[in-house]
Amino acid sequence: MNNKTPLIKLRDVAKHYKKAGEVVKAVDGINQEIPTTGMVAIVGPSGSGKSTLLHMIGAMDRPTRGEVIVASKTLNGLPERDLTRFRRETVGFVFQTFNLIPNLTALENVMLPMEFNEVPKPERVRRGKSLLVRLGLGQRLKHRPNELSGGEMQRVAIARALANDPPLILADEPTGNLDSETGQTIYELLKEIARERTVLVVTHAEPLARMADRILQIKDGKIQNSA
Amino acid sequence: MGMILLGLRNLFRSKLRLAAVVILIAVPFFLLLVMKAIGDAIQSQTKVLKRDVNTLLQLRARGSMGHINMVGQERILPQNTLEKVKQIEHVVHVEPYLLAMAPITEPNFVMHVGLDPNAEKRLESHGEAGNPRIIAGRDFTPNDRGQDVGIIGQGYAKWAGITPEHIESGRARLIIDPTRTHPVIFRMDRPTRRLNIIGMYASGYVFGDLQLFLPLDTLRDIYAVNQGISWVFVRADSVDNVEFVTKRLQEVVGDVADILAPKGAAVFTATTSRTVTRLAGTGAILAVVLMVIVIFFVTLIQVRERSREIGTLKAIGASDGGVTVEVLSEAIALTILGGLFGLIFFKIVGDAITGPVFAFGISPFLPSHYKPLVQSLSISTQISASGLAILVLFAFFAATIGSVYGLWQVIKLSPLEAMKHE
Repeated sequence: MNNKTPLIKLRDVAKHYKKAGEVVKAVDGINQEIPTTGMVAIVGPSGSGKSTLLHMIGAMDRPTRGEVIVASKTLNGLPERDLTRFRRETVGFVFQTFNLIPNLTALENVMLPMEFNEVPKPERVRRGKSLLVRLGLGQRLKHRPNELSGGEMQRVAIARALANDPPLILADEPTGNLDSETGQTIYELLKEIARERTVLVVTHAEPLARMADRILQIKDGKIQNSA
Repeated sequence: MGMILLGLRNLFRSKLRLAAVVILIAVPFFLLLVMKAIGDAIQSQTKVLKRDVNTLLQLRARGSMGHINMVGQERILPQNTLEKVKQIEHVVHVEPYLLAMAPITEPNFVMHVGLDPNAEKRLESHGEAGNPRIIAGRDFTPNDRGQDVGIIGQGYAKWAGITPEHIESGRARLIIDPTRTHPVIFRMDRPTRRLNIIGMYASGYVFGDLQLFLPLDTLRDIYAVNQGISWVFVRADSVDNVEFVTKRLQEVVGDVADILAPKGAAVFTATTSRTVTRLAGTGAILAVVLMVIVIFFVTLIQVRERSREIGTLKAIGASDGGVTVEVLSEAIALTILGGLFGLIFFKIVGDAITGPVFAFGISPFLPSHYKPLVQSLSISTQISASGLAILVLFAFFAATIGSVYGLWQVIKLSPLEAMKHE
């Protein structure tokens, strides 16, 4: 895939569901193309459909209508087993609440996706250490999540997202649980990562969103502005 | 680090919970061991008892006493009955008898019983002889087959004027005369035969002592009955199979024979051993069910509590199979730990507790006449390797069955649903 071929293609993507007997249009007919590198911020008010869109791109949720194509794979209709493989190989997730496995060390958390991808153990250890050192956590390899600060946990989560070297990183409010200074550090890190892959970030924080190469503004499930 | 290891590490997240769950599993496992010990004790007790239970069945010609010279009762079984009976499964021993009656002055008649010299049973016609005991001379040997020899009951001997001293000195003789009659005995035109009486027996019964045992071939020759059998005694290999053998006898020879089965044996198997085994089995099943319920709730709670984590694992690439292995390995490890503690507890207090559990839990359900049996029950806390293997299998079964619902809860959810599922 070259730089001109978009990594993500969204064609009339919609997600509707019923709540208390009424149809809620969480995402309503989005058409977008997102390139293979760079940081894209998805911004908008609460309930605008940002996270729903992110989840559909990451094969965590299925659209009601339309096509989601990522890395030349049309996700609609793929069986669960293929979606699992897609998540394992193509996407790295960064969550607002870090979602680290509490009884595993930082290194073990980073090695986990590689194990799912059947990477041999010596390679897992080497790559895991390398990622954590690169993210400034060389002294925290054997620490468990409860022994780490919020910023450190999120950096471990980013290292975990990068473990299988996926072309796409999806970050859902990655700084939502961090103070602004730490949040700034995390965004700089994501920005750096976006030099060689696509980083799609959902955020409320407009100053941080301005660091992105592109901003998608969503309201009522529709893209209001793409800049 | 595999998913199995991840599951095992989950055990130690909360030591307090681990201890509580292990105890909750150890209790039903302990009960399972107690039930097994009771079941084993009953099995070995009934094995001993079954050895003394009558497993003999008797065949006679239909509607006849089968005495070859008894007026109106002389029909005997066809000779091929023997072969047919020997073919039946669970029949371990078959003894043919040929019976003739002989008139005497008071008490009217005696019985001549032709049998194989190796025969075990030696019953007289009214079933009273039981175990005749040789009180003079000797018993038959295989060499006596076809010889003119006999062993006489002490009552018959008294009438015939034969004493133990005659027998010991080899001077005891008895003449059999088939032509002699009686209101219930008809004449058979055969020459008399003089027998050498080699032994005298006592049975403890009046009719039992009025018999003369002689080799079957000799009796056939004396009375000229070349074919046929008066009675056949059939021994089943176990009291449990008496019912089966009775049924097969009815199918095979039921058209020509009446079959007398030992009712006591059937009643015995239908009550004591079956009842206790079933009660112990029910207790064991309840213990397993209890284990399943504990595992069920533990797995369900664990899955619900860790749904966000499981969703995360699925989001970063864990397959449903991987998550299943993680949850199942934790459940199995918990069950094994619980089982181990249950086993240790059983070894420590099993001797003291199993007896009272039996006395209060099972004994009240038994018929009152079996109380002495259960009071003498010897319960052991010894467990064989195979017994332990079976219990471990039960534990795996309980862990797997108990985890199914929790696992299903995990697998049916998408990663996103799992993360939102609280």
